[in-house]
Amino acid sequence: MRLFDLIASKTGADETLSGCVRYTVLDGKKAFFQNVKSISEYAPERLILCAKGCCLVVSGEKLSLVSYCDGDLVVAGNICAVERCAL
Amino acid sequence: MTFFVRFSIRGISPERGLIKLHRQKISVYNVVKRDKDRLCFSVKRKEEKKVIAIFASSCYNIEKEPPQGWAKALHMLKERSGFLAGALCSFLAIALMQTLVLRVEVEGGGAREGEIRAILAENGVRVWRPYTADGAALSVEVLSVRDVSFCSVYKEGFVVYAKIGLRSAEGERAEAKPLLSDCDGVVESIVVLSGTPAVSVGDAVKAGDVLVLPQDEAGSAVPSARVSILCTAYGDYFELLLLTGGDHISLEREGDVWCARYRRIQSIYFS
Repeated sequence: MRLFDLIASKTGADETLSGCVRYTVLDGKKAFFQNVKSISEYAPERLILCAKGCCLVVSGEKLSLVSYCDGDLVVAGNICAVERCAL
Repeated sequence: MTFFVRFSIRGISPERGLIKLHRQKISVYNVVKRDKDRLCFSVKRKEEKKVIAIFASSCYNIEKEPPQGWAKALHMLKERSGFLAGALCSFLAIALMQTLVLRVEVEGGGAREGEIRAILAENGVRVWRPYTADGAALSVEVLSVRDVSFCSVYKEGFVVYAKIGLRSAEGERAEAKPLLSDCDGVVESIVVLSGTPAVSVGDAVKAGDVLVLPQDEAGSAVPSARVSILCTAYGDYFELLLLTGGDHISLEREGDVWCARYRRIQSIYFS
């Protein structure tokens, strides 16, 4: 994702935050996550993703995993919130 | 086009199954949690065996779900490949047989049948061959055979029919035999191919009257004609019914007697 690389280089975070989780939510309908290490919990209302140094809690309705390949995860459904919590 | 296989895994915390797949670098698609302990997902078809192997030695129960969409159609086609092959063969056979000739019938060819068959064969009308000949052109060619006065070549089903009209020996002898009327009536129509008409449409004729003379202006000795006569007969109902054979224009009562109006066709060497 060139956009993420661009943002990282602009903010000077390319080295310090390499391998960290990155995500984008599109209008609460689709979300794209990078560097996801595992899915620790999955229910249509709640999704817990594990990444380097943190966990992400995705909450919403009718959540489904469109694809999960090489740490890239696409989530569909009514996404209400993405919260970050420490491991 | 990528084909997918859908699996369902059952066990405590089935999300962990996804981690197993992730560790083996297997991409999963369209993950849906059906129950608390059941998760459905799709993987690429080429990774099907790998997925089964990963879950074979784990505490998860894995089931392959029936294919959907394109995969379902493909699966159905594969399952019914024999039937499809049979249907295709039948279709091709029917399409091929539609053009095939299985029999050649020459009707009324008489002594000229051999010559006519030879002409048909020369033009490609043969058994177990496709029918590609032009019927009209073939008829013209058959008409060039001596004594053939009429020809119609056509294909019906798998049979090619050649209907032939010959100028027969009887025709030659009929020179002195005109076409006579065998009933009383009024001439409705008259078609003369050869010979001289002795009556015209609307003329009243009686039984024994000459309808067509054998000689025409060209001096042809073969009369060929067809005359339709409208007849009227009176009598008993059943007599009239027997007379007309049921093929009457009208059969009605006139006073004390019954009156039948019917059509008589008189023809001589008319194909």
